[in-house]
Amino acid sequence: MSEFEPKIVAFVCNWCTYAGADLTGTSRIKYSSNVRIVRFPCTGRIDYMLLTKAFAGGADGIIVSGCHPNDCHYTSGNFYARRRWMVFRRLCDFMGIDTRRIIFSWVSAAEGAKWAQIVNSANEEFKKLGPYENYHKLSTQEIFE
Amino acid sequence: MEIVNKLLDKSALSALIERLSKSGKEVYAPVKENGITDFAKIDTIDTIDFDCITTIQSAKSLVFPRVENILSYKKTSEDIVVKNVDITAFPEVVALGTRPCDAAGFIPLDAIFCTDNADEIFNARLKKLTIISISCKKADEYCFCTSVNGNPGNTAGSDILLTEISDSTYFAEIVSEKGKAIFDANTDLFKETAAIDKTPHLAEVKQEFTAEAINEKLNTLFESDIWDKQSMRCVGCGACAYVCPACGCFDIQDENKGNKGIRHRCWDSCGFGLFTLHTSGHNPREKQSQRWRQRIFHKFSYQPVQQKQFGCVGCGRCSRACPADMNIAEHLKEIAVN
Amino acid sequence: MEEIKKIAKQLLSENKVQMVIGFEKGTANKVRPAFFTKPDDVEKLIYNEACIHNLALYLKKDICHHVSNVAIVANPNVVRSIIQLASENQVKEEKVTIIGISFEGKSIGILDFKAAEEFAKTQPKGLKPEDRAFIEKVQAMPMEERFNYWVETFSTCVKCYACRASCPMCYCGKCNVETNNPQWIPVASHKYGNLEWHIMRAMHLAGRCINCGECTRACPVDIPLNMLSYMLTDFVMDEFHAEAGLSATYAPALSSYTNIDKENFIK
Repeated sequence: MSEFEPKIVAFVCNWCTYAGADLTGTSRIKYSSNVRIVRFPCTGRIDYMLLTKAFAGGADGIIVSGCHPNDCHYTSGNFYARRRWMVFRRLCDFMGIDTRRIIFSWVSAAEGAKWAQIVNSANEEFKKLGPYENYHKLSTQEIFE
Repeated sequence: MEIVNKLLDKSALSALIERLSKSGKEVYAPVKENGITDFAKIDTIDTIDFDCITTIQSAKSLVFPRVENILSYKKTSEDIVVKNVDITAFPEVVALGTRPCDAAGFIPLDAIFCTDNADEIFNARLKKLTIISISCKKADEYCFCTSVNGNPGNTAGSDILLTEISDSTYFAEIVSEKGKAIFDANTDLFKETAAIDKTPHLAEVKQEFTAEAINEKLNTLFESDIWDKQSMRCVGCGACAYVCPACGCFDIQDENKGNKGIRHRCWDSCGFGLFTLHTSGHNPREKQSQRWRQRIFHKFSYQPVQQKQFGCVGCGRCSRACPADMNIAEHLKEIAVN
Repeated sequence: MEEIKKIAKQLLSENKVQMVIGFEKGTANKVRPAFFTKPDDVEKLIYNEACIHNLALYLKKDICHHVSNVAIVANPNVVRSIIQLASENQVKEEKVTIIGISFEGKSIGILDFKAAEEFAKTQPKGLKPEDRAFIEKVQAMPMEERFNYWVETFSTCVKCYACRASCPMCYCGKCNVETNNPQWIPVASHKYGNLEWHIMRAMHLAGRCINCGECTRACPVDIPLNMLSYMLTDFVMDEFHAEAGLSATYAPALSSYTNIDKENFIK
């Protein structure tokens, strides 16, 4: 049997991490192809429910990434997002949703190498953790049972 | 059929429950768990909570579950395959320990699901349901069955009605063919008896008004300000409709994943603002008072006209569940004397 | 009690307010929210230990839309809810008269927002020991078990939305759960739909909940859903030193930020 390849969904902001990921590509840096990138205007727009929707859709791991503090295109979107992530992580933890599978990072438009490193290390981490099933199963049991 | 009178000892009831569940029937009865009593699957008499006046939720979910699949669909490269839910696969269910009001609740519910078209899924479930009710020894200030053509020893809707006549014995009335089927298969458990007057063994529920009087009054009350007054404290949740044994409104929803999906129906409530919201943005029942009026009118005016059935059995569940203590009996009385 | 009645009567007869929101006798030994518009009606007003409903919720319902001035019998929970609503620009000081009352039923008199803030600050803060014990018990479970615990706990939810309807902070004209194009939270009350609804609700109340417990009281099937928002309230207090319902100029924790928020979890 082939090795388990985790499905990773990355929610990134348009101005920094998306551009950073673009730079990774144009710099010809190789990185794990398991990641599916979803582009948002700002990290402030990344609704926490989107994260649970990704798990429901079968993601084994999630990356959420945006501009470094003080670099937000809209001045403060990432500051609001940071607080929201803290609270959401606490809630997930309390409700038994695996927070090790949600990785947060700041990746600027100049950090192509960092993006590759984030994705690769996340991929390794998620591989070790194995498939994430309980949330996905819950959301599909009505459909397939 | 004519009602057949028998006696059933409590030990025999215990044996009956075991036999029913061994024969592959699912037996549901009031069970107290985490402080609240609701219908749950049982296989022994020990887990039944005989003391409760009514369960929090009614027994309607046995034939009208809060979510049920109607069909599933799958898209393949050539075709779309639609599969209806297999109505022959529903289990045989026995509802035990329902109150006469619960049993009576199936009558208006059945009427709703059989208006114009008989709902296949609902009827398939109802066909496989046998109701063994137990008459009420106790009632509380929320009960008003006698005001809506019921009573604590009412046989309507039940297949067998048990009335506790002593600490060890039930007086059993076998009301319907379904009840007779259970009796026929377990004749050894029942004893012969002459007809017994149940009245001394029943709770007393004072009649405060009549459903017919409400129906009559409603003819002139549509524009009355009584609805505003009564519903002032209504918070606009759906608790009343969801615990009601006779509320049958539902919503149809699709859920899909990739190329597969299901269509299901789930409960809905006229208390919600979204219930009547049109696509255009217009909402014919914009205010909570209009939704409260709809609830009363539907049960006491529209249903009697369309289905020759009142949509209320007087169990008082909605009043018990209401976060703002909207006591339906009190409000109906107010309407009756208005 | 008598003093509350006196104040209510006076407010109505001097036409300072058009309506007093309080309690009257309900079914059996229950009490129910009541709305008094005439001085003579006030005789029916009561207050006892059963009066735990959070009346602040009615300030955002239809009934208050056409009333220019309303007075409200406010125990500490109601006072805090009103202050929180004020901080979110949902009530105006000149439209609401707070008739303060302690949990025990002792009248505190009419409070302006300043006095209400002071009063709220004197009330016990933080989690009750039994709530903390509950949260710690859940927290001590292994992750898998915790997930299953909540799934099972919420599996009895019938989605009647009594929790939402009875929460003074849930005043949105269109709730997120009603977003149906596309359907955002499943409508059906199956396990998945219930879990998503409760996650969504808890997040929306983070840093805004004043721990009155009205949601769980309203729940017909007694789900301890208030524990999610209590836990988050506690977390928000620890992390951001923010607490809802104490200041009418409070910026809810999740709609504000500082440059030094913790980010040890961000790579």
